Amino acid sequence: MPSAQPRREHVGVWRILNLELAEPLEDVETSDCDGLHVIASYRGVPVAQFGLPTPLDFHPGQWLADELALRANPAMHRIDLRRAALPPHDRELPPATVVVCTRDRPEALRRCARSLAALSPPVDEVLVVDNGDPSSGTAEVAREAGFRYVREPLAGLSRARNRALGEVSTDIVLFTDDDVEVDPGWAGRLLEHFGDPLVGAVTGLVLPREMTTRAQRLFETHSGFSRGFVGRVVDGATMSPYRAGSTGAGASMGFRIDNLRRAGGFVEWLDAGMPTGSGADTLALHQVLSQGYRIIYDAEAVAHHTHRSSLDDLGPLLRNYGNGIFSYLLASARIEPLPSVLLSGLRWSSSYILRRLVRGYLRRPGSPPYWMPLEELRGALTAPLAVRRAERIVATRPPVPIGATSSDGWRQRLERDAVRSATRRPTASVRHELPSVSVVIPTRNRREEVLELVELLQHQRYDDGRLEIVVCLDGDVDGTENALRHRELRRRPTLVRLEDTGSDVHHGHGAGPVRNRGAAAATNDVILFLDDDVRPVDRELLLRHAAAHGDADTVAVGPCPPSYRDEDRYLPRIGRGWWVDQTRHLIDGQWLGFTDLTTANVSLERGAFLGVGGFEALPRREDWELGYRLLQRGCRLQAVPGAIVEHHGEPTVASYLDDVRREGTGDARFMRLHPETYGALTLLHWRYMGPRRRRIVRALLDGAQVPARFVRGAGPPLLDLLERGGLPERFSRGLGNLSAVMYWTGVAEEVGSLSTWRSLVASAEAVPWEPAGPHLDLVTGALELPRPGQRQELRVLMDGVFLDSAPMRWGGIPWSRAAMLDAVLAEHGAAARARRLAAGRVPDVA
Amino acid sequence: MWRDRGRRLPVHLGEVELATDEVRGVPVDGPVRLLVRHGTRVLGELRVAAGEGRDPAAVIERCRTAFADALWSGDVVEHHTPPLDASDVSIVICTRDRPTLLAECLAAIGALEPPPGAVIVVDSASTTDATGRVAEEAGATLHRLEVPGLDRARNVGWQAAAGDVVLYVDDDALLDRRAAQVAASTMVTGSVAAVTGLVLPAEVATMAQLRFERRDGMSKGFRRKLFNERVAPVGFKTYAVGVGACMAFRRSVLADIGGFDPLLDVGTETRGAGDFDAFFRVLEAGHTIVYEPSLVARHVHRRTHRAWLRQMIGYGYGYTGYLEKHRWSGNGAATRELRRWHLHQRGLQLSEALVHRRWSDVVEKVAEGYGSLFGARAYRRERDRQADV
Repeated sequence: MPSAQPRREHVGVWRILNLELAEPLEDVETSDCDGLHVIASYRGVPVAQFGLPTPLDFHPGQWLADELALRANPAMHRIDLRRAALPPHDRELPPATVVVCTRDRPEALRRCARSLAALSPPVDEVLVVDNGDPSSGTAEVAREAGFRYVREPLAGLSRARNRALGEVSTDIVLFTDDDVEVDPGWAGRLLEHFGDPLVGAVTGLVLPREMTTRAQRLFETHSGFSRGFVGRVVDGATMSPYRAGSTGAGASMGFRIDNLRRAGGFVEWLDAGMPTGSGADTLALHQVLSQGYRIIYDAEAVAHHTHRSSLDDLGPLLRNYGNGIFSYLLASARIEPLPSVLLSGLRWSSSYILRRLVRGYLRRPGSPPYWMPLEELRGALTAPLAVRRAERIVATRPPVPIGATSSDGWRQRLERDAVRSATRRPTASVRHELPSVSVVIPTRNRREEVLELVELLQHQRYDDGRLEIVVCLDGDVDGTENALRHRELRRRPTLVRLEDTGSDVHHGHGAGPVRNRGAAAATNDVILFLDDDVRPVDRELLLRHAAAHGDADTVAVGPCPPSYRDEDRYLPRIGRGWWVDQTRHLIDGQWLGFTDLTTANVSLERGAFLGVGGFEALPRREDWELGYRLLQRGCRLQAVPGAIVEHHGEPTVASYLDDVRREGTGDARFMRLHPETYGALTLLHWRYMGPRRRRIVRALLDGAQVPARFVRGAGPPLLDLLERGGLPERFSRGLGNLSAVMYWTGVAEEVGSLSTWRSLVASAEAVPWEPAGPHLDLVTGALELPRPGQRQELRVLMDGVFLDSAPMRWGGIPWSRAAMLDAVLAEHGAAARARRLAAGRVPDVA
Repeated sequence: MWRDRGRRLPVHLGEVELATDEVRGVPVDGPVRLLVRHGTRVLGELRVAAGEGRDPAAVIERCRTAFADALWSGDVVEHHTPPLDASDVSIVICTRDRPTLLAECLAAIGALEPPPGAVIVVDSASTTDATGRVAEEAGATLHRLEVPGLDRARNVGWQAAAGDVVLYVDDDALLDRRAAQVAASTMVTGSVAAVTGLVLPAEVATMAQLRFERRDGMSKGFRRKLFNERVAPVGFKTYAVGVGACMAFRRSVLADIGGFDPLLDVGTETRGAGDFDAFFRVLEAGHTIVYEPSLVARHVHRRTHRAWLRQMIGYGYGYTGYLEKHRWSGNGAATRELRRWHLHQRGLQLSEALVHRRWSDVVEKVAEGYGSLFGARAYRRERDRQADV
């Protein structure tokens, strides 16, 4: 075995150098070591780590400064800017339990316990699961620290973790290992993310605690736990569950316990204590993604792991990992469709193992010594046998109870959050009595849904005399009118019927004109627009909307999270994510723009509605357009997060693509009416398209029909194939491409020709900037968002000097400040840093 | 990516000094490669395509943006003064029958500030006396050898040098103004035995030169690197350390390792790799070599395709010859290295070049492979020949 001979790579004594970059950089004495493992943080946030060989008694000050500049400066700029531009919000942290599973390592556990006791904010409970010899002293350590102690006599890390699941009473459980020490802010950072109801798991950055031996250095450089210094969201709705391993590992992870329990806990025949060696943590994360939930990797939640110090341990450890990864793949084959398993297995073995093996053998710079991947490969090859043996062991054991799953889903959590935030926030009500309300419901061929909605409105708490329900029928094919007339109802709806003369077979007159007719028929002060396919979640909907109308200029926007029957399909998952983000945005209520106005659940004064002239006849986006005019008129958008309705349409790929096409038409018409909104609409993609896509879009704008016909015909079955193959990533990418074709086909329907489109864009870009208008200063961090009527773009400034424009679409979502900031930084960060440097606005490292 | 299609030759070479906001050699049109520096530090290179605006202020702004992070580090106050300065440096130029190039090389050395301690020209068996005349005109000390061989000449060079540091420059390379000072100050402590420099093209005027530069030519990048067998080993791959066109050694270290191997490099049958061999033996002796990108030399690459091809073949000869030498002296690792090298160059890189249809790379790899067929034999023949003499 190659491990017998001495190896030449990276020997000598290394040590960790922790640097805080906000403080002046000192020259470092290195005569006591052969190299430094530099871990640099800025304002407490780790930003870079790298090795610096110093085989001499020289002073690496300048060298260190040069390296740090290249590796850490962008991150430092980002941290400064985010602190200045994004207001901090303190969220309530959910109750949580930290679980440490340990086996005969009381000394390591003591250090771990000390760090857990120092957590700030503290967690509700720490549970130590002893999976080893009862006489090893683990119990004493747990008792001294004041932690709960449970003993699990049957060996196996997964077994111990499952045991913990049965013992835990909180909704959130954080896991760490006994050879890990966590930073005081660790739990707080991880728990913060569970405010998003779609987050199923969180992971944190794991840094090395010591770097004395070569084994530790090799492990950290070529295997290690670090997943980078940039936090990210991995969304199971759009990304492959096989990315789970790239988010983190058992040394620092947290789960919503419900997701774990629904997946059946950790797979007992995987992980330490079993012949398979590892892999259960990855599989648990995998299942979170596979359920369509999100994992957030937070690079600011820091834990420090003590790597094995002996080189003799490294080989078996790597073999364990190889074994674990392959066992995990075998386990995943039982829950995932075959194509996705094969693809990821192939990718893993070729691009990870084989590539590293070849490069290692050829001794390419930066590659591990070849025996490292070789050990992993050896482990991988024994995986099938290991799985069989492990399964035999587990088959003889009694199952461990992991607790019952709760009936609460993400929707219940979201609703609870919304209602809670509504009670927290003072309403603007100054009226002594509630206004009279007309509920306007446009409908077309959805008899059952409308009947249900009208039925539910009967139970709303509101004064009968001050309430009116107007159902506006856009043609009547399925006998909705008759059904409503013959239903016994206390609050009888007023029926308005438009003759079925709409040009479009499926969409009639369009929702805008129908709502206008409904509003004209309404007589009360406040109009509440509801879609026909929504369902109020409680009896307070009307009260909450009404309470928001303190003055005549308020437009109250309520959330409408979806409630799909089949949430295992990819398309509902993608839609769900969008709506949940939107609802959370309403809950946070930071900054509302016209893109937040959705007509599914919005109320406004009738006077204001009639004052702006009602809806325009747009096939889609009529809501944004109305919102835009309302805001221009001086109305105020107010989020009413407590007034929730559930939206229960069942999207299909075909209907989605059709919607997107109409969105394109709507956007184009919107832009015709208000050229200054260009920067906030999807149309803006035109400006940033690659040459290939631009060629296609140009053809579409010139009236090419073939692509749209192809997409309509072949799109849905193709995407269906990808879904059956278990490939969410390809599915979402494919959907994005297909919908782009449909979108621009829709745009072409409105604008007619490429030259018209070009002149439209030219007129949009000619809208002048207002002096002292919306801007983002990349040096000072000052941020002001545009008001309606203004060009919907930010001027990117550097110390007051104009640099470029940043459309509101940047970062993908028009309403996310953080995403926008990152997008601007990616584009202009370097220029701003140059200016920052010239202005001397950075802490001087010299 | 440096694509030749649609590019115009020549590529102009300019310089930007960000400390004083000076721009040199930026023409109105045509592609430009700008070397960007700040004081003594070289930050990197900025490539400006043909047809982009050439307003000096805009060029400086672009450079500032591109190197914003590198600029940020500034200068750390070192707690010590470098023990050596330019007057400890002796510059050695080994040359053979290239008086015109030599004159240019010497002119560049004459412009060094601060000036080096000594300039030594070793005339390696030139057929005319032009070389000697050029050297004398420039005021350099001249040594003449009757037997050709670059390494032989290099040995004469360090033996004749007076200073602690010997800076070797090829006769077809132009040293940067600060070279002597940087070479001296990089030898911070006793264990830095050698410093290698960044070698950039002096001109990119022909397709052959463009091809050579496309794969980064002789440059090893703009990040400082450290080589040491204990903590940052390279083994036999000392081509990663630097090139002979610009390298500085401590004289005492050269004396310790016995100087360069006269069986290797240009002028012998092995055609090259004398520098790699010297690096290898310096590292093997436990010393450290630092690659310092602020030590800049500009090299005139081969102008014709024929010469370029010959050089590639020469690389193959040299590298295998150098490995043969160590194989012969009983180092089994050299055999393994040879196998790895072939696998990498002829296996991976050649197939990659074929897949991506980069034909000039294919030619390069094949030429190198052709040369490598004869390297070992060439080394043995050279050894026998010199033993006879």
